[in-house]
Amino acid sequence: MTINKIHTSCYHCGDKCLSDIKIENKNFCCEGCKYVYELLQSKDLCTYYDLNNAPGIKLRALNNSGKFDFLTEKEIESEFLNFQSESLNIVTLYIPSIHCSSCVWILENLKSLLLGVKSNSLNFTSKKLNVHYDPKQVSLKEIAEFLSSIGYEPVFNISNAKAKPKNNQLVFQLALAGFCTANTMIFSFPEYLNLDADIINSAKFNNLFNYLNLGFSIHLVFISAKDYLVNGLNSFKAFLFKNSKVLSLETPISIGILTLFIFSTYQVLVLKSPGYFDSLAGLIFFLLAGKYFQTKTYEYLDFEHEYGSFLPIAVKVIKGAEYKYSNIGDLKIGDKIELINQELIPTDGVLVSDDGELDYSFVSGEPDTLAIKKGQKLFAGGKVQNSKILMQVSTLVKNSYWLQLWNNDNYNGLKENPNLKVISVFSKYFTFITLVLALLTALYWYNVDKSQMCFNSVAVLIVACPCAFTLALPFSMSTAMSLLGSKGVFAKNQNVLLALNEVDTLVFDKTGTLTENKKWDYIYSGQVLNHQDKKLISSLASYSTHPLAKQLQHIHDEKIELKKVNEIPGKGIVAFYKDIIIKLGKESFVKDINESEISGSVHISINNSYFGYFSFSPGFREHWQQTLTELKDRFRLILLSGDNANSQSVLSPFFDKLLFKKSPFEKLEVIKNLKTQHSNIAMIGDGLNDAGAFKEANVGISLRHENQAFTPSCDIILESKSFANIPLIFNLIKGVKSIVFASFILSLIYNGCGLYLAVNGFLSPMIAAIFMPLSSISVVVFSVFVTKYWFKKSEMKWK
Amino acid sequence: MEIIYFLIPVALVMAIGFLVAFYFANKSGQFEDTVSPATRILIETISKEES
Repeated sequence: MTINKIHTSCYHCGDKCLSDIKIENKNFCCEGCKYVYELLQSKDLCTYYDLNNAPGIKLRALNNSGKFDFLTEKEIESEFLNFQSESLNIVTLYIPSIHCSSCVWILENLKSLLLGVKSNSLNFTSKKLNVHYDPKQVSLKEIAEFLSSIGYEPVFNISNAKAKPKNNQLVFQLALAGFCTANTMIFSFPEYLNLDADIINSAKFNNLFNYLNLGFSIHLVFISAKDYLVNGLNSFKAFLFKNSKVLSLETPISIGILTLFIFSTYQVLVLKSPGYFDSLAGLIFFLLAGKYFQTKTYEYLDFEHEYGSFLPIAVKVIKGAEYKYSNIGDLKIGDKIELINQELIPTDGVLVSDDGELDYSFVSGEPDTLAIKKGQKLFAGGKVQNSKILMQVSTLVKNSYWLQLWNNDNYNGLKENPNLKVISVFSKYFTFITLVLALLTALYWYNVDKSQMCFNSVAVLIVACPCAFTLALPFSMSTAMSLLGSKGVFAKNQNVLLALNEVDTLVFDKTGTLTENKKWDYIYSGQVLNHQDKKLISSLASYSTHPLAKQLQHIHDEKIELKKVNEIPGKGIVAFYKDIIIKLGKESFVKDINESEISGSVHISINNSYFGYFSFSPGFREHWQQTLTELKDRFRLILLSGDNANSQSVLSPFFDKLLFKKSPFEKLEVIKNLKTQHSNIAMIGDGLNDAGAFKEANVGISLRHENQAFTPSCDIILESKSFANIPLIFNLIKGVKSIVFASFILSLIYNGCGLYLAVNGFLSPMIAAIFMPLSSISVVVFSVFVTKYWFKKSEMKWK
Repeated sequence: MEIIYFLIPVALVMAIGFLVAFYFANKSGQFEDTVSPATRILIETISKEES
């Protein structure tokens, strides 16, 4: 038999077509894709396929029935609705799979696809679809099911039910600063050009212009720069009276701003001279622009996920013959709940129905599924596999084992911004050196020329204002952040990148972090398998839904048809070929005896004779050895795994310390202990079981697997394919820090020149007006371009 | 030159008008999503050409 080696790709999703599903010369990889195509064709919406090549999303699970049943409950439904009335409901759905203009096209046309949808609009950036629909014609459940059937599955969870209010204050402050700065510059023009010599009455106008500038500056200082002044003052107060060791960067900035403002006001009101309002305006405008870039983070990525995002919203509560969907928060002790395939257990309880299978990998990191028996205690966080189970609730959701991690004292309250050594050291010394310098200048001029004393010491304060540092930092950091973002590294904010520089200890999780989910290495031990045996095993394995058994279908390319296939969840799978009985599964199942089980192995028997077993171990990520070797030279590496010590021998050469079988709570404790030893820790993990450790570590880095909608709360989200780039990321961030210091030195040189000119009386208003913004702009341009160049140089090193 | 006493307030009032307009536009969320409106306008044209 010859197999056509040239694979055609699916017209809908672009995947390889392995089977022969065709309509009018268009190939499809599966029935799901064909269905979507037919549906779109019938509604004349095939433009979907013209906009982008193979834009569709492959349906992962065809059988979604029952998944959105909880939406039939009116109370739960109304939690998600933004507006509710008899003939109109409005809902905002979060759809993570939106990715291209075809998606926009198809979702914008939802109203022609689904009866009852009145209008809808899509926000591409936040991946949210706003739908107006008539509740008499279509229900929220039907909309959700329809969207899932065409590949755009909406995600419902508590946190996106409540929309966060957006803070627009900074944007307005920036706009106001822009407005005032532009006007101040215009009204300062006559002075730059020395027009007052030519025009009669010009003194009159100059006075008017000065007063106008003063008016603008009042707005600038007390509205636009308000945050700087308030924070600067608070930090200074705390430093003086509360023995706080840190002085925020805002303190020297506010001193600079206030000195400029008060001195200029004095000049305008008393001396009737123009003052330095243009410099003040430019300074505040650039500061705010820098701050704006700093806050411009990945708004569509949520770094603060609560447990609510991970648990189901509602579960089916059984009461006798009836059932009702209930919010998980309303579950009472003793309630019986039914959970279907792939649903997450919301709280601790006892299994009431017959045997089932659970996947605890979400919580513990253990790769294998666990068979459960009637009467066994179940813990929150397990995922039901392949069957329907009935359980009795024994603990309230908020008290469940799993959620105690969140109720832990360490976890409550927002994680403080890391106390960054760079900034605190800088602002502390900088403030004092500047103040002392100004004082010395005043003392010197007090002896030499009293009339010059005030002006010169103020000049020192103005020129020394660390605006360049505060500009270079946000601009180069935000450039670095967006460049890292394009490589799949998303930092929560810029402080996280700075904190990454101070890290000296890396703590790794094993399962899902060093190893790859759904990738397994297996070794066979037992009797030699011949060609026919392999064929039988791979054929039987292809019928199984078990993650380990599924791997075995690749041991032979050819498949033969088997009869009487029967899969017993948690045990194994059995089938007949002619008269031969083939068994695949747990040792006890294959050998028909009761024996202690070794997890992570699949045993085989053919024709009732035991052959041997495949033992599985999780497959490590690509380049993992190289990555760890590179990191080992620079950091202390610690392995912190919830898994057993199976792979200790493989891992020990790379780590300074290995810790196995740690519960999520113990993980948190380990990090805490490390912190008391004055280590700066970055925790790299993936699952919910690392959530506590993420919170406790200085920097929590969460790996996001493909197609995963959520990550636990963390500081940096790293696409799992970028794992091998971790050493490079550390290098790049280190370079960015040097760039910031280079920019700072550049601005010191500028300011030094300015100071020299000012002291010698060469600094005419015209030159000053050009000089101040120019130094700011050149610092910004320098930091942005050098950062870009620095990243471009390392372009080749990304894996 | 006294005309300047009239012109400057007029210019300022106009400029402040724009500032206020921006304030309300920003508050209404007009600048929150800039991608989909840009795509939307193109999509409408394509569908009209076809039909």
